Amino acid sequence: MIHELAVLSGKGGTGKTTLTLCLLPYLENMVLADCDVDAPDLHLLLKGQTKETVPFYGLKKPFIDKNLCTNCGLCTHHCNYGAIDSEQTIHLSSCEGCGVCQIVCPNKAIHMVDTVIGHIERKTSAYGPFIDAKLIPGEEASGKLVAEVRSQARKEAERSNKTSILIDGSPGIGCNVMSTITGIDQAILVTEPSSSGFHDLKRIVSLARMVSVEPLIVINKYTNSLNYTKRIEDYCQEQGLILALKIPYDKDLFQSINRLEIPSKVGHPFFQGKPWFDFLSKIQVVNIKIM
Amino acid sequence: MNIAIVSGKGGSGKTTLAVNLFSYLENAALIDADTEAPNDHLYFKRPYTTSDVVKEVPKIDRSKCTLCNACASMCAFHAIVPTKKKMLVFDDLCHDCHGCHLVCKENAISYQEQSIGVIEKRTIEGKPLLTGRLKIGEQSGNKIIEQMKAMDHQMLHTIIDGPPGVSCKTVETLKGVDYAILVIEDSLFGVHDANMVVELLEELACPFGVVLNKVQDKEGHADKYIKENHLKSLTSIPYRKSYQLLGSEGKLLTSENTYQLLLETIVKEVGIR
Repeated sequence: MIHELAVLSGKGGTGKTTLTLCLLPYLENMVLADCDVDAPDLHLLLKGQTKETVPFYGLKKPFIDKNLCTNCGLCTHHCNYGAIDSEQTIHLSSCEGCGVCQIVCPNKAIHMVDTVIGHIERKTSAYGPFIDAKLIPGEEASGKLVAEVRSQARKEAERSNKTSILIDGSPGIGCNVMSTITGIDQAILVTEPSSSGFHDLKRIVSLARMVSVEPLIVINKYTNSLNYTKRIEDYCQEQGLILALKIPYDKDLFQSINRLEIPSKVGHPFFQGKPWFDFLSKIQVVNIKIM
Repeated sequence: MNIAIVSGKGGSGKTTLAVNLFSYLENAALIDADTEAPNDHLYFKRPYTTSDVVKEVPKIDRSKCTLCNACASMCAFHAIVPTKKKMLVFDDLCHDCHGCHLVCKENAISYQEQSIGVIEKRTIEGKPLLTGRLKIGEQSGNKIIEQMKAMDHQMLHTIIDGPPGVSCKTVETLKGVDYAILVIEDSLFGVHDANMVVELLEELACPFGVVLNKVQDKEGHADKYIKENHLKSLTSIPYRKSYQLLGSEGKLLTSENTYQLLLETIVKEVGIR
């Protein structure tokens, strides 16, 4: 049984990747997966080697054989995304790959062809096997790429006898996040004390509960607004949510990342204190290394 | 002029810039296209009206369906799955392409509307603010973004506050805009993710300029990146505790003289008249 734990947030920039990185020195026997495929940053601090780069094919995209096309306009008419203009030129950035144009074309002038939407990389890291991916900017079906990263991470875990997978997710609540959160064992939701952070936290909590994942809440940079920290605390209590950790704002933490150093590894005092270890004890699905 | 505000990394400062620029300009509309995490309205507590955004999902008439599987094999999104007794439809996965009824020989498929989210409309000192809000559990807010952009609001300028990242929702945000403002957070992650947006903007041939945000030291990561890549810099916004405090409380920064000046520079550099 492989346990999956994901760090998510709703609002962007609350500190998902930083928290993920800080967890690494304390976790054992796991595979790491970066599911933030359109802004993957984890690799920047994990100096490992790439073992394999595999192209990932999204949905097939249409191409029109102009020799067979009679410009009848049926494809233009039936395309619900406005991806085929009145001269039957396909605008791939609007195409969602449904294949309706191919079905309606009476001249068999349209073929659906495989399209690479990103690349998946299998890497090594000091903390275990690491899988990440990079979406080709502008491509559709990023949720499918996320699903593939998770699937590769599970395969890697089986191959190397690891018991858990730690996932760094993307902001929002849409397809990428749905692909990340569905079927995981535990979610850590990182928020910040601001009107935006609070607003977006409520949305990701609803999503987590919709897919029956009970989350742990982390308030990052909590000293930035004690007012909103209090409001988030009250909200957690009302909702029966576990407020698992509050991290104070510390410029040094931010700068340490910019120096390519994992804060918890370079002896930052917060990660040697009781709140941090209490937090680690609440993470059920991973093996905590006793340091 | 239609101006999109994009970033790559979340939390770079798109919303802060969007709401303040909107407030600063006299003749502008604001569209919040971050439908998964829409925050612009938090800065303007006003009453609002909502309209539903719907997609049409298939409804299969079991008395006509012969379980031939044509619809399921046609559906690229796996929204229709065959079982022994009936074809199961997963509404959330449906992309609204209307392909399934085209392949159904029994004419068993009709469509019914399903809400994927709402557009909230507020008026701030005579100027419209449109907020797109994706329903929780839905996959894509692209249709909401498209509908908001198509609304006629009679304003000279439209500011579109985009989602983070470089996926299809950012493409939808950038479609048809005259200019993009790329907000780069002055950090390792900020620069890395912004670089992916630059790739996208160049591919779409969208003119753009950069606003450096939360600058802590003058020759940081972002400054170096802009110089090395010869990007057009619009302005550089320092990290200030007062900005951060006002922002976290959902308050505008236009009360700060220093920020006013920054907005003035951006307006001039972009050429908003």
